[in-house]
Amino acid sequence: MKYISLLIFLLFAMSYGLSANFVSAGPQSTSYELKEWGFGSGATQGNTSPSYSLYGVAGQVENGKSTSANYGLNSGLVFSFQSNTPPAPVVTNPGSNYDRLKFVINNGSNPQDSTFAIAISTDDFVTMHYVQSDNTVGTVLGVEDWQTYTNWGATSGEYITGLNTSTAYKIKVKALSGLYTESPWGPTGSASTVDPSLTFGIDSTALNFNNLNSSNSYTDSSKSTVLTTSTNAYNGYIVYGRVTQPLTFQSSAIDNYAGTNANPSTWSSTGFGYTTNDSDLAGGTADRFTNGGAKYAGFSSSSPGDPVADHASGIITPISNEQFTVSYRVTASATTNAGNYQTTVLYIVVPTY
Amino acid sequence: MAFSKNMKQALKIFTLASIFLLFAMSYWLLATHTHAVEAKPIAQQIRISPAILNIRLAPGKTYRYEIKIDNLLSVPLPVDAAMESFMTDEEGDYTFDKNDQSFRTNEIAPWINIDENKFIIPALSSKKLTVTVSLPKTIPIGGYYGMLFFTPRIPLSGQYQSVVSSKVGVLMLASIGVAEPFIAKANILTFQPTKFIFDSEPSSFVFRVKNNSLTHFSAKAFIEIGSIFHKPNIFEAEEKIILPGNIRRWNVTVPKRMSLIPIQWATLNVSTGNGTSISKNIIILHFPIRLALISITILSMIFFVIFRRKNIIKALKILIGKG
Repeated sequence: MKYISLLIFLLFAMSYGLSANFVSAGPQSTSYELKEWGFGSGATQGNTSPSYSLYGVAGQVENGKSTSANYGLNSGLVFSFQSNTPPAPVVTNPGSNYDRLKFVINNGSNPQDSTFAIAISTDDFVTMHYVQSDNTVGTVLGVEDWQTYTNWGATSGEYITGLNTSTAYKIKVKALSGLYTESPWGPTGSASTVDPSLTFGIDSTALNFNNLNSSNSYTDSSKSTVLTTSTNAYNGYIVYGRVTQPLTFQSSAIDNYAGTNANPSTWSSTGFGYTTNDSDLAGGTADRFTNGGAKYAGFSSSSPGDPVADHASGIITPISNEQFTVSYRVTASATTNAGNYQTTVLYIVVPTY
Repeated sequence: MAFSKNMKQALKIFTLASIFLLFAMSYWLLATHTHAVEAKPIAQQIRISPAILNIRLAPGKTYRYEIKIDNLLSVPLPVDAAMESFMTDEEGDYTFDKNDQSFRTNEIAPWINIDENKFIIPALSSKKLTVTVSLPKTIPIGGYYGMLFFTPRIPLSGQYQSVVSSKVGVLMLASIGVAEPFIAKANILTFQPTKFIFDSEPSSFVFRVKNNSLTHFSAKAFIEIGSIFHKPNIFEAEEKIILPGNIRRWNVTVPKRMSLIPIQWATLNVSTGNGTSISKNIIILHFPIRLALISITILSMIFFVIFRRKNIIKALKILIGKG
């Protein structure tokens, strides 16, 4: 009887031992059990201290990533937490600009409050720069440079500024939808800046005034010069006008008109002057030459002269064949010596900066 | 007989239609021709590219840049090339004066060599000019500037003609020995509204920024306007390059906004490079003074009519002599 009891006890003990070993095979729930699992050499399932606990993640597949030129396939818990990788942004140079490019990012179906960072490079990301929150280019990606899809201009996009001329740029985007959700960089979009150019033309190189006599009150106001300018310079251009000397014949001269460029006046008395039809001109009140009829000024003799035509900055769409007309007027006094009076009118066009 | 009559009528209609068509065509041709004649022919026209040369250089090195000049006319064009130094003011206007020694401070001209100073560009052709910048080994670091002018030469004119000429400038902005990334030292000298109290929108501001660096930088400015009642709105001002030691001035009109909150704040942020910026805050006051005055006047009149009507009636009676 004693032996039978001992045998039964041994059987119970063995079955308990077997069942105990079986339970410790792997993590289990009511329905599932992970039969084989591990954390590799040197790693442990969990590490605890009085303040912290560190747990490994079972089920994460390492080196399981599969990629092609356009797609990346990944697996595991971390990957499923990541934001969607934004597709390639659309990068263009619609205005043939030399210092800026337009970009429209794709939010890649990320949530509305996701933020995006933009990288830019001229050497296929051997060296990487980042688009800053003010749309300039910087070397550091700061917290403030992660902006929402709306902040980056949504479907309208925005311009990256301060770029080099005639250079090819690539840009790529990554997304963030909360802590530990940063996506990898997406595929790239590219475009190139061009060289800034400036084209300038005048319609005539000769200026022949009528014979001034009593029948025309010693006046001719029928002559003009058309200035034609094209440029893609962001800050536009300015045309200065000046003369090398007053209208001169031997030792006699018809003086430059008394009105000044900053304060032109309705024509009175005598002299040689000009007016311009640029109603938004730098160097004073914008419409000073056109408001209330044509106002006249005398030419300056010093370089570069006075502004006679311009186009202010903020040019995104290039200016093409913009024309302004400078009209001349000469009125001599009845006592002016008879003769052929000559001068040279010089127009200097420069890009503004 | 009837057939012949119909034929005659048809012929008449056909003739009339033909005459009408001829008139219409000639009118159209004439109208087109007149329009074409209106466009003034261009006597002198060149295109230069690049028009702005914004370059970074190192002492002791030699750099070569190509500038393309296009003659857009169907006749050959003789052109002169020459470097000039300049100075600028707050508005960005240039001054060229060869005799002023103060122009020598930051000029790039002494280090520049143009391979041809006088050349002829064949009709509808281009000329590529090489500009060589040879820098000495010891040169103070900083910004150096100049304007390379191209002047089309005018053929000798008639004996009695005055002459109209032109010249086109290539702006050269060079930073010598300046490390990348460059962050400019700058400060906002003034930032103020153009009015003490804005009666109505839009609001406008004037601000001036000084570049204290040794070289130029492109200042990108933003004005942020907000109040305790609404989220700030950001308005971008135009970018301007500020040369070293120089001041640039902006006059910015902020587009019309819906809000007329009496007290608002405005912050000016100016980018100084590599994602950094400088800023300045001000308080702006919005109060519809004219509207308030009109309202007070109307309310006073209503008050007077309601509470002092006996006095008004009495005064009117006195006026018409029945008092």
